[in-house]
Amino acid sequence: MGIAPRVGGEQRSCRDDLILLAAWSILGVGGAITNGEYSARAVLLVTVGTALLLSAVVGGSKAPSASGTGPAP
Amino acid sequence: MVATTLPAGYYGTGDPLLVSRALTLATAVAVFVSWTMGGRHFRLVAYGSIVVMVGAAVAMIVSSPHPRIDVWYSLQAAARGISHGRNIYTTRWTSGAPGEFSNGFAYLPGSAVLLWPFHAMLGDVRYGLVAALAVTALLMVRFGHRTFGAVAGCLVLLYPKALFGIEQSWVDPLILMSVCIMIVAVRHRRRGWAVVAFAVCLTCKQQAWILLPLAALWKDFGWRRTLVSAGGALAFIAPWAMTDPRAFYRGAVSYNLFSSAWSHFDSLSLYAAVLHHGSDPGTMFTVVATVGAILLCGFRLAGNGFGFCLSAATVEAVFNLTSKQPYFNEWEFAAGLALMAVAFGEVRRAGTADEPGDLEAVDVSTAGEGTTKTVGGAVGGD
Repeated sequence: MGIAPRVGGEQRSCRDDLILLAAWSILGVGGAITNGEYSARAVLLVTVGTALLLSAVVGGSKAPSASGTGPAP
Repeated sequence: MVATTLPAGYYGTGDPLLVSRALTLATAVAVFVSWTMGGRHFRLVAYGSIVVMVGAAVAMIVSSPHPRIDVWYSLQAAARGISHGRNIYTTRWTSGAPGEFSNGFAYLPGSAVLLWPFHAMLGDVRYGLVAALAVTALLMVRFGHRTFGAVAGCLVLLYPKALFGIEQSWVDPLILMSVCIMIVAVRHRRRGWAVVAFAVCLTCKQQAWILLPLAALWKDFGWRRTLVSAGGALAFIAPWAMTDPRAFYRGAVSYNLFSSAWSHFDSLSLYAAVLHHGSDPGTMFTVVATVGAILLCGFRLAGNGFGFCLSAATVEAVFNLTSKQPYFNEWEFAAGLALMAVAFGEVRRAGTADEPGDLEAVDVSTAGEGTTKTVGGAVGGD
């Protein structure tokens, strides 16, 4: 299942899903900090986000997201 | 919905802060509901959300007129310096907060120049940062994929503590906006404007220079335009560097490169996490990881617009993760680049004959508004 609903007839790839999830993970750091300072939870979030971006670079699936209407791989 | 968590104002007080939070909450709810319902008019909702979030940001600035952070004091002092024809690298100021940077200017001069009109007209450089975020979001909604560009555009302004970044006056929205303009310009074959936009990006903040090899690898931008942008940026910076080389070096170079890692104990990175366990990984840790990320992206991603966006996000993220002084703003920049990859990159039309293998070729630079191309030929028009 895709991260976000399919809207407007467009269909994301799995790689789009990975990148969106990475962005969410990184932006989520805002919820894990007080005034911009170090917290282990914030570092974990950005580490996960970076790992997701790297996995989108290295192994971005060429299959469409299951949230779309395209055929399964 | 998570955007409603502490949406604005670490230092803000009073009614304007309440207004800012109410507007952020209303926008978050509207975007979330419209998105999950898959509304046909999501783009309109996106435009509306940008307008309302600009209002929320302005209310937040009003609620927090003097944030206790060195960045705001330095940018205000630099803007005043420009108004009076003084060198921004020799201005004297203090935030009054113990342990913070004081005097001089730690960014590249483009950021001060871009923000100066907002200080001159409205008295606060942060209005310029709001404008930069709004322009970025509008470009993503207008020129990105019909729906996912709109989603990404909303997320540029709407995430946990998004307005915290504005309150603190970090300049990263300026470089994000210039990269966005560069991408849109290449997409519409206005490559001269793309060169100018990238040059502006390079004049604003040191971290933007990491994007140089990635821009060179982008076939539709290329190494010649990259060199022109870099040369233009250096020519713009040169007067400040030559007027007082020591002051420029102290503010723009040594503060960022050679300050003790232990003074950035509170940064958000693996580097800082290692510091918290008592050892200093050293600069080579950052260099090796960043160069490795650049090489990996160069080998793995196509030299197209999508490749540039994803490479830029990945390399900035790896750099942040392994360097000594990334804060919330540097991560906002990396995430903004990732959102651009989604907005301008790889989305396809549903109902077309999808074939494995076609995604590598989706190229923002040749797709343009209303068409989406692939080598595999499986992706239809928009």
